[in-house]
Amino acid sequence: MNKKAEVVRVYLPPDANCLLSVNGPLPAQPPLRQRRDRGQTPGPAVAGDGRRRQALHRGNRHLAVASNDQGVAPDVVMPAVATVPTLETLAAVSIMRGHLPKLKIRVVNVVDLMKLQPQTEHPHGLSDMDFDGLFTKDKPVIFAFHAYPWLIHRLTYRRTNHTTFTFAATRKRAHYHTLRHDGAERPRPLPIS
Amino acid sequence: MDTIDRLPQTGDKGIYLKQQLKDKLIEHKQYIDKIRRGYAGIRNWKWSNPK
Repeated sequence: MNKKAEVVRVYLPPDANCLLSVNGPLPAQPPLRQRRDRGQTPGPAVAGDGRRRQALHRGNRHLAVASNDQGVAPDVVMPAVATVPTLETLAAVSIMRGHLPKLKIRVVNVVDLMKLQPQTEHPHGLSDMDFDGLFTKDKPVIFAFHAYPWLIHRLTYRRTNHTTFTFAATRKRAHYHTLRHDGAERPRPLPIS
Repeated sequence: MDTIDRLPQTGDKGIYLKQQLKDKLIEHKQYIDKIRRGYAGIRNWKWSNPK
């Protein structure tokens, strides 16, 4: 992330289908320094069919299946990056939609981290107009990200509603037990055989 | 719960939901400490479209 914008590409796909889709085009660009992370545990598929996979691959879009803000302004935006945070966000959204049905929630699936940066900083960056359209100008944004939140702060500090960003993220070491205590990870101990 | 904190418009309903979730978390933690495994409903959770 400290390399020049021209050589850095970061893709954090939410599921295996999307990983396949992200993996596809990359080998064609050998000089770039790329990082593609996937979870360590097999997870469920967020997007099943090819059409959705394509939509996910473009990344940083509404996850229409989980959002209920179609046609109206959302009350809250909940972006998620990579497998486990996406799963947790979806679980949180399903609870909230069950208990607070009037709440309009927009789930944004962030795959390409570099889209968060301004267009002027990175070739993948979204324009301010697109960014505001996706993350709104003033609504609270609860970002699920299992790494250090300041990375996202750094990428988004110039955006209009950057001050409304809050994180469900790791604040210390990205370690299982720490995650558990930071509240970023649901404990999932292995069965004792 | 962080989300509810940031949405004052959820009002009493939000506060009530938060309390329920807190209770659930404590209950789940106790269960894990005892059984060494999360609730099956949580481990195998799947998305289903809310009505």
